[in-house]
Amino acid sequence: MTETTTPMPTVRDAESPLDPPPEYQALQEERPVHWVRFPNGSEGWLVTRFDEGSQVFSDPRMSSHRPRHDNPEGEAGESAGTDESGLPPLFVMMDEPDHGAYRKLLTGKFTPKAVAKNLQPYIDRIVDEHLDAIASTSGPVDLIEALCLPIPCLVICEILGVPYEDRDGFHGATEAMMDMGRSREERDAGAQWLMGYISKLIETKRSQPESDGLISELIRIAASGETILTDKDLTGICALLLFAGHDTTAAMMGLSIMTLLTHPGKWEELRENPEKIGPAIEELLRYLTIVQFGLGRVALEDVEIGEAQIKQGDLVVVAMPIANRDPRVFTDPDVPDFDRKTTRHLAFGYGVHQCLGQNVARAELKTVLPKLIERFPDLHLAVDPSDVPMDAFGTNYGVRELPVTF
Amino acid sequence: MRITIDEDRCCAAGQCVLAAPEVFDQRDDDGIVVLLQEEPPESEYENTRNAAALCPAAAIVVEE
Repeated sequence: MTETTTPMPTVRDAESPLDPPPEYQALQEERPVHWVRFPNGSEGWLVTRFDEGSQVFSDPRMSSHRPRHDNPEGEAGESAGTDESGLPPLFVMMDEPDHGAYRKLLTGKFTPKAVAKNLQPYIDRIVDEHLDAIASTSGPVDLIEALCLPIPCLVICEILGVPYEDRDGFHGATEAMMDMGRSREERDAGAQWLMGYISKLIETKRSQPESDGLISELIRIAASGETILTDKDLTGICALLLFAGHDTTAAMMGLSIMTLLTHPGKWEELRENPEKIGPAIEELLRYLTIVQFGLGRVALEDVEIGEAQIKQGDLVVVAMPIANRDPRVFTDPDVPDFDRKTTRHLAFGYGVHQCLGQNVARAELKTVLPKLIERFPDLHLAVDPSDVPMDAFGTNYGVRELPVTF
Repeated sequence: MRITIDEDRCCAAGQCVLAAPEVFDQRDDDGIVVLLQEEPPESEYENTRNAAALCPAAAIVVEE
């Protein structure tokens, strides 16, 4: 480790909490790929431009079996998966063909068509119920607690067959696990709680062979013995679906509402032009890119990307928040613009690992935002934007509390 | 315009169906891409190009 290596930027400007750390801009302008020191003290490549980022995610020479890079100083070497817990590695950490074999067991549940048919009526109903509950108060209301967290939690519970009354437990554990501002012990305790919870749930569901939900379906698939999925894989996969399936969308929903409320005219633009909601959501995904510390890959052989001579074994991190602000691809990248011609972005990653649940996230956002705007056309922040507490160290960047009046 | 798809590359993200629902569909069981029109009408050209550009797995090839 050399003291002079550029550190990966991680601290945002308090005056513009929705923009990536300001140091990124100069790095991106200088060249597409830099050798940097990651938060945990390890060193590797940081990709800050869109095309080179897409290239890294699409290149089969870039392995998903990677160490963490975003954990605190001195914790280099920690796996980005669940290796230490004694469980088999998660498929998100695997390469082809194994990754695809696992992924295909799940993809049928997450297509736009499946989401529209199986989940949309449920999402409509729960969003209406939560908006009714907000309307019955005199405000101010914290929209994270009243809307942005409950909706994704209810939806993932519905998909998996997890009891919603357990939400405080599984959300608290997820939050601890994903918060790089907490100690290793606290984060590991969160992960272990989640694994323990899911293991018990799987045992309960085994004794109810007819029960609904994806967890029961996966138990039946594993029991058939005809696929790659074994009983040993179940805990990791189900835990992954549970934690990745709610914390992300909750973060994105809170930040989206904050964006609409703090950028003059954006709330009104969607109120007057509800047909823009589709492109608006893609633009919010691009603009906000909640996976704030990026995603890593490991080079399986020597590779040249963006003129960087990447050596076999090097860690390569794509900084998606800044790659999604690349002026080579997006005109006025720092401005949310719902009329852009392109809806390309790296918010869900890219390549064969692109987010499995992206169409569930879209359905939730596409339901919540228009209904919220229609129901409370004059909604506004109850505090100064600079007083909205942000989740500075979360793997998923988000808003902790969003107090509004209506 | 002529479209070819590579089922082995497809990762079932669903981007093609969102961009060009008249041209692409997905299998119910595993979400793998189904090509509805090999030679789409001109009115679908732009959507089809978008679908190919958005596909994260480069499973769609458009020849023009």
